[in-house]
Amino acid sequence: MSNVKLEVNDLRKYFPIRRGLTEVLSGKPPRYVRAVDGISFEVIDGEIFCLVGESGCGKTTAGRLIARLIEATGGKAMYRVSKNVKEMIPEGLLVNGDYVNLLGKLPGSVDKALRLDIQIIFQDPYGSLNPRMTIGSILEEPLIIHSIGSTKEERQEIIYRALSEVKLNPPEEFVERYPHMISGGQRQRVAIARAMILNPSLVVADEPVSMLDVSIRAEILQLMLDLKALRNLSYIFITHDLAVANYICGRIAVMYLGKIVELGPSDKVINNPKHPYTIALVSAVPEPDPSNRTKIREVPIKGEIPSAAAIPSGCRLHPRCPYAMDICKVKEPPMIEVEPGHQVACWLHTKESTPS
Amino acid sequence: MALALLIAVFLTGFILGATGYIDTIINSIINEEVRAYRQALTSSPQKPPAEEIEKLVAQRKQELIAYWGMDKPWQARIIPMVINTFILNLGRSPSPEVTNVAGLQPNSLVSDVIAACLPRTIFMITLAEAITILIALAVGPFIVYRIGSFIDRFIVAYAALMNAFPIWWVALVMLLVFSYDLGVAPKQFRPVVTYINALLLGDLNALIGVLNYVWLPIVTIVIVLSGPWIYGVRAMLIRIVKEDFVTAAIARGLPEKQILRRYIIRPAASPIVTNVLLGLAGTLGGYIITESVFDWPGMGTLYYAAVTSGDAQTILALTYIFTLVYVIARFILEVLYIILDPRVRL
Amino acid sequence: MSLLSKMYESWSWIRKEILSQVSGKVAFALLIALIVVSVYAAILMPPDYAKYWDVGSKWVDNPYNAPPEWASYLGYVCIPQTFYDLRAVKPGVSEVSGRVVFTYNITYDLSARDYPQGLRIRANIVVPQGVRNARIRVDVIKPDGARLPAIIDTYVDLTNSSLIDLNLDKPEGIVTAVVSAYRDLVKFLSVEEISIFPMKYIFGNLSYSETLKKVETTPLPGRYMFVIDFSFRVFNVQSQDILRAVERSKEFSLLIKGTCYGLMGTDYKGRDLAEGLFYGFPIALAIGLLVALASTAIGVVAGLVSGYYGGFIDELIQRTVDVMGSIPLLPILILIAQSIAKTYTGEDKPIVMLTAIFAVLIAFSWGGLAIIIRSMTLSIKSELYVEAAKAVGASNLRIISKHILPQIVPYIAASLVYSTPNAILTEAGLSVLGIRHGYPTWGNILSEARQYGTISQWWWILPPGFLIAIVSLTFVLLGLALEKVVEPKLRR
Repeated sequence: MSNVKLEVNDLRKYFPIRRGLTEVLSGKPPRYVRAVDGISFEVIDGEIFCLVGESGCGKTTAGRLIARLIEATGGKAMYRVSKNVKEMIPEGLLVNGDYVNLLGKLPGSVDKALRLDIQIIFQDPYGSLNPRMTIGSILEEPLIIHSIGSTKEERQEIIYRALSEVKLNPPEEFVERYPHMISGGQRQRVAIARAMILNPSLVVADEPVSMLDVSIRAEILQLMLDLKALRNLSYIFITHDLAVANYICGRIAVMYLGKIVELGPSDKVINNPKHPYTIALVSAVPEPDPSNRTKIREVPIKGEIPSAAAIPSGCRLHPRCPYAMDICKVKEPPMIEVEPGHQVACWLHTKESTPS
Repeated sequence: MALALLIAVFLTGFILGATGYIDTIINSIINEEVRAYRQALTSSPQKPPAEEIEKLVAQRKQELIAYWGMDKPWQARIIPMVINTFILNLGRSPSPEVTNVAGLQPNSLVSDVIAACLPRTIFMITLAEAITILIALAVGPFIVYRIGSFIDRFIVAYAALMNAFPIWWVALVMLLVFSYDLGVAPKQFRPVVTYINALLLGDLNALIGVLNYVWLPIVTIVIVLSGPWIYGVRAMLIRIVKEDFVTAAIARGLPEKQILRRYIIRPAASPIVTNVLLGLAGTLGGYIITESVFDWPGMGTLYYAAVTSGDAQTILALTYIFTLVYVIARFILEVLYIILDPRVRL
Repeated sequence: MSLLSKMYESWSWIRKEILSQVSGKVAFALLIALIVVSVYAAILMPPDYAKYWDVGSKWVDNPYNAPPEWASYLGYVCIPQTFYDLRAVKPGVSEVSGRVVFTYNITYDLSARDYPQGLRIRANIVVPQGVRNARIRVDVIKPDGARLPAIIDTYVDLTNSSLIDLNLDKPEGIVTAVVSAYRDLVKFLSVEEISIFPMKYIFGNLSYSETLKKVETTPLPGRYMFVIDFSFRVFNVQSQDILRAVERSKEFSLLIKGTCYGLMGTDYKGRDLAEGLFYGFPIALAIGLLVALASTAIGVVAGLVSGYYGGFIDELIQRTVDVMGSIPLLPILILIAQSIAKTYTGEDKPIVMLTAIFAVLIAFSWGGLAIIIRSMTLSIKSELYVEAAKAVGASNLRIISKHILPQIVPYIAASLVYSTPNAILTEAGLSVLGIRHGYPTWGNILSEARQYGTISQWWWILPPGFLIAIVSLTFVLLGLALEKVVEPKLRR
C-alpha cells in the first residue's frame, strides 16, 4: 500500500434540492441531486489518473471534493501526506503512519497545511484569475498566506522562478501585467504556476485545456507532463475529451451519473472498452485514420443523459443501453475485474467472469 | 411587512410611554388646569374659606387625573391604546391643538380628525407630487433620446441644484417673495379648509377658492421635486437605452415614438411604477416640515400638533396609518410586478 | 504593490474621473473651499462654543435685528456703530462743591435719517484710595438746540474694580429730561411712549401733529453733543492721579449703537450672524460626515456579513432592512426628538438631543447600502477566482478584504457622498419645525429666525438656508461626478 498516494472509498456528494412549502407539508422525503454516488479508486504515486465522462457525470464535483473545496456527504479518502506537511498534522489524525482522511471536518490549521500538498488547476483560465490583480499579486497570494519567503525580494524570487518554470519569460514582464493583457494559454500557464508555487505532491486538474484553442492544448499538456517529471507529482486529471485522455492518462475511470462504470489502464479502456457507455464514448471520438474505422463496432446509444436528481433504478444506463436485460432494470451491477487492472460494472460481464 | 406595522406602532407607543413624554405633558396640562382652577376660586367674589379651597382643588385634581387616566402606570394606558389602534378603534383626541388643525371640537373622534385633514394633504401634496411625476414622465423620455445635448445637460444641472435645496427652505423663500413682497399669494393658508369642504360637498365653484390657496404650495413642490424626479426617470431609462436591443431598433429605422413606447418605457415600467407608488404613498407623512412652513392644516401639521401636545391616541393612529399606506403600496407593487415584468411569475 | 500605493492609485484615478467633468470641477472647487473654511473656523472656534453663542455677554454691544452694513446699497438707512474711547479724551477738569468733575464733550454726527438703537457707557476703572461717591451724568445737546439734561444720572461703585455698564434702561430720567427740554409739548407727551422708545426722543425732532393729536417724532440728523460729567468726592487725592488712573484703566467708553452691523447683520439677541454662520461650517460638515460615515460603515459591514455568510444572519439583516424601510422616518424622528426635548432636563441636553437625532438617522439609513453591498458580495463570492483563492488557503477574512472589498469601494464612496447632506438637511429641517436642540448650527439660526424674526429680516432667514443648500450642492455635484465611476454603463 505504500505507493498508494490516495485511496478513495465510496465517495459521495448529495446536493439537497430546495423544497417548496407544499412538498414540505406533504411529508415527502427530501430529494437530492446525487452528483457523486459512491465512487472508489486509487491514485498511485507519480501517475496521472483520469476521471472521464460527459457533463453532469460528477467528475468535476469529485475533483472539488478531493481538493477540499466542497464538503463530502460520505465516504473516505485516505491521502498520504508529504514529509514536510506531515509535521504540521497532529498525531491523532494520522492513520497508518502517513495517511489523512481528506473528507470531513478538519481543524483550520490542518486544512491550511493540506493546501500545501494538494492543489487544483481550474478549467476557466480567465475566471480563475482575479482580473483586478496583477499576475505578480496573484502568485504572491499563496506565499503570503503560508508565510513563505519573509521579504518582498524573497517572494519575488520565488515568483520569478515559478513563471520561468511554466515558460513565461521574461518573468519580470509578466509580473506587472493583468490577466486581460495575456492570452488564454498564457493565463492557464499562470494558473499552473499558481498551483505549483506551493510545491504540492497531488494536483487535481479540472479540464485544464477544454477552454483553450486546440493548437495550444498540446503545449499545455506537455508542460504538465514536464512538471510532473520534474517535481514527481501525481495528477487527478478530469476531462470529457477521450482524445486528451488517450494522450496523457495512465489509468482512466469512466464516470456515468455519479458512478464509475469502467476503470483501468488507458490503453486497455480506450482500445478495448467493455462497458456499453465507454464503447459509445470511444466510438464518438472522430477517428482520423480511415483504416481504423472498422475496428470498433458502432454502438448507438439512445436518448440523453437523465438528471442526477432522478437516477434510474438498477443500472443507471439501462434506459439508454442497447444491451439492457431484465436484471439491469432492477439491480446495480458490481465492479468486476475482467482482466488484470481492468474493472467494469456491467451485468454483461458479470456472468462471464469471476468476481474479483 | 405586517411586522413593520407592528413594530412601528409598538415602537411609537413605547417611545411615548417609556420616555415619560406623555406623562410629562399630561402632568403639565393637569397642573395648569389646577392652577387655573385655584386662581378662579381665589379671585371669585364669593371666595370660600381656605380649607374649602384646598378641598375643592384636590377634588378637581382627582377628577382630572381620572379623566386623563394618570392613576395608572403608562403601560396600562398606552398598551390598550396600541392594541386598539391596530383594530382601528382609534379613540378620541383630548388635545385642542390637534382638533384645531382639523377644525373640530376637542375630544372629537380621532378618525373624524384624520378624515378631516386627509383631503387637505391630498389636495396639496399628493396632487403636487402627481403633477411632478407626470412632468417627469413626459420630459424623461424626451431627453433620454437626446442625451448629451444642451437641454439634457441643463436638466441634469437643474436636477442637481434642486436636490440640494431643502424644500422647506424654498417654501420659505417663496412665501417671502410671493406672499409678503408681491402679495399675490395668501399669507394664511388655514382658510382653504372652507373651500375644500365645499368642494367635497360638490360645490364646483369652490374650486377657484381652493386654487387660490393651493397654487403657491403646489408650484413650490413641483419646482423642487421635479428636478430629482426627472433625473431619476432619466437614469432609469438610460440603463435601458444603452442595451443592444434598443440600438438594433434604432438601426432598423423604427420611429422614435414607437421605440420609446415599446422598447424603452415598457422595460423601465417596473422601477418607475415602484417609485411612483412609493412616492405617492409617502406624501402623507413625509412632508411634515413643508406643511408646517405653510401652516397647511393637513396630515403633517396634524402629526406635529399631536406630538407637541402629547396626544398619544392621534400619534399612534397617524403612525399606524402612515405605515399602513406604505405597506399597502408595497403589496400592490408586488402584484403589479407580476403583470409588468414577464420574468417574474408566480 | 504596497497597500498605500494601491490606495493612492485608486484615489488619483477617482480624482481624474471627477475632474474630467464640469460638475466634478465645480464640486471639487466647492469641496476644497468648504474644507478650508471649516478647518479655519474650527481652529478659531472659541472653546465651549455652544455656551458662548447662547449666553452672549459678548453680544450686548451689538444692535438687535440689524441688517448688514452693506444693506445701505439696498436702500436701508444705515447708522454705523460709533465708539468713543474716553480714556483718550482729555476732559475738562473742575471742582464743584467739593467734587472733582471730569467733563467729557463728545461730538456725534448723525448723518442718516434714522434713530440709533441704543447708548451705553462702560467703565472698568481702578481708582486710587480716597475716591468716593463716583457719579456719572450724561447730557445731550441736540442739533435743534434742545438740551436733554441727565438722561443718565447715577452713582457708580468703583471700589471693587467692578465693571460699570450703563445704558438707557431707566426711563424716568429720560422722561424728565425730555419734558424739561420741550416744555411747550408737555401736555401732549406720553410717558409710555418715551419709556418705550427713548431713542426716538433723544435723536428725533419732536413736533405736535394735529391729525394724530399727539407728539410725533421724525429722525433728526445733525451734530449732537454729549456732555459726560464724571465726578467724585476726594480725600487727599490729586485730580491728576485720578485722571491718570482713568487713562490707564481697562475700559472707559461711550458706545452709540447703530442700525446696521457686520458682514451679515445681527439677530434678535444682537448676535453677529457672520460669526454664527462662519462657525457653523465645521459643525455642519461634522454632522454630515459623522452620520454618513457611521451609516456607511454599518451598511458595508452588514452587507458583507449578510452576503458572505448567508444563512440566519442574512435573513435577519434582510428582514430588518425591509421592516425599517416601511416605517416612516420623519414622524418617528420628530416624535423621538420632541419627547427628549420635553422630558430631558440634564445639563447636556443639546448633545443628548443631537445624539438621539443622529442615532435615529443612522439607524434608518444603513439599510440601502447594505442591500447593494450584499448583492455585490453574493455575485463576487461565486466567482471562480474566489474559489481559486480558497484553494490556495485564503481565509474568509482575506477573501473579504482582498477580493471583495476593493470592488465595492466605488459604492462606499458614492454612499458617503450621497448621505452627507442628508443629516445636515434633516437636522436643519427639525430645527425649522421647532424642535430645537440648542446647539449652534445653521439650522438653529434658521429656527430662531422663523420663531423670533419677521419675514422682513431677510439677512437672518435666507443666508443659513442658502449655506445649507450650497453644502448640499457640493455633495450632490460630487455624487453626480462619481456616478461615472460607479456605473460604467453610463459612460458615453
